[in-house]
Amino acid sequence: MAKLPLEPGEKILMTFRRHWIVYFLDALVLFILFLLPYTIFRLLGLGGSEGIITNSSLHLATFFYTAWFILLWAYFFIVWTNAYLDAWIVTDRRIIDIEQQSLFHRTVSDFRIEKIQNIMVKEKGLIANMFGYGTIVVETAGERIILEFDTIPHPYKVRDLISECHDKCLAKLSQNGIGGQIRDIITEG
Amino acid sequence: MNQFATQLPDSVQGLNFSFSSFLTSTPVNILWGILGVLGIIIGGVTIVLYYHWLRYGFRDRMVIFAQVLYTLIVLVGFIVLIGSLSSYE
Repeated sequence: MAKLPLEPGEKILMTFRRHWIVYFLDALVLFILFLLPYTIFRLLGLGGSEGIITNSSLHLATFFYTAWFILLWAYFFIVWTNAYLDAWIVTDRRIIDIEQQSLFHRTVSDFRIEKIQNIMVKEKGLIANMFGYGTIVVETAGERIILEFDTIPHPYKVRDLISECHDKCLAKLSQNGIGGQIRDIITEG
Repeated sequence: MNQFATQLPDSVQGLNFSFSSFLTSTPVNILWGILGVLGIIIGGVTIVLYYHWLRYGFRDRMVIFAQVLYTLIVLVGFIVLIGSLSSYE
């Protein structure tokens, strides 16, 4: 992880990344694409009964299939990198949302944990329920910022953790005498 | 025309594409050219991937694993490509 501009004394509590099913589905699509030329070849009946691969044709077939494989392999790692570098970092003061939208397009946004007004968990569909991933939507008071992180594993645990941090943060601020002001902001928001 | 080519239909119907002649008459220089273009593309992709992995995923176990796996397979792939072309000649 690249160095994050953390405040003095700020601690990272947890880092969340996308559920493994995202990578699995990408890999599955590329695996089907990998098998596609061979399938087309067989369907068109271009392989004779004695087998197509003899002499120089073997080397040519190997060449093209390996080239196709390398292209798909590289593409998979581009997709994987885009997905893997997405992260949600929960610290004891903030939530930092890192979104790698594409290569060379990266967005990093953060907001104070005490500004959270609402945390919503969405588990939509059979597969999401089976594999235990979902979307977390965090709404903040004041500027009405909505942060969304989809295909996150164990979304209910993440929500509980954020709620706990939120409560602790408010309690800490109350001790310092500014909790009331923040509660007012949240209620107004 | 070799044994392989005689087992193939002359063309794919409607596409006017002779597969057998493609497999028997592809000049090796063109194939080396294709390999060169592939090398440039994969080289570029590798630089971009390494840039991201080292900048944003430095010391991350999964990223290190991905780096090793990606590099190994690409290297083996290019060895196979060069080997198959050398044998084709």
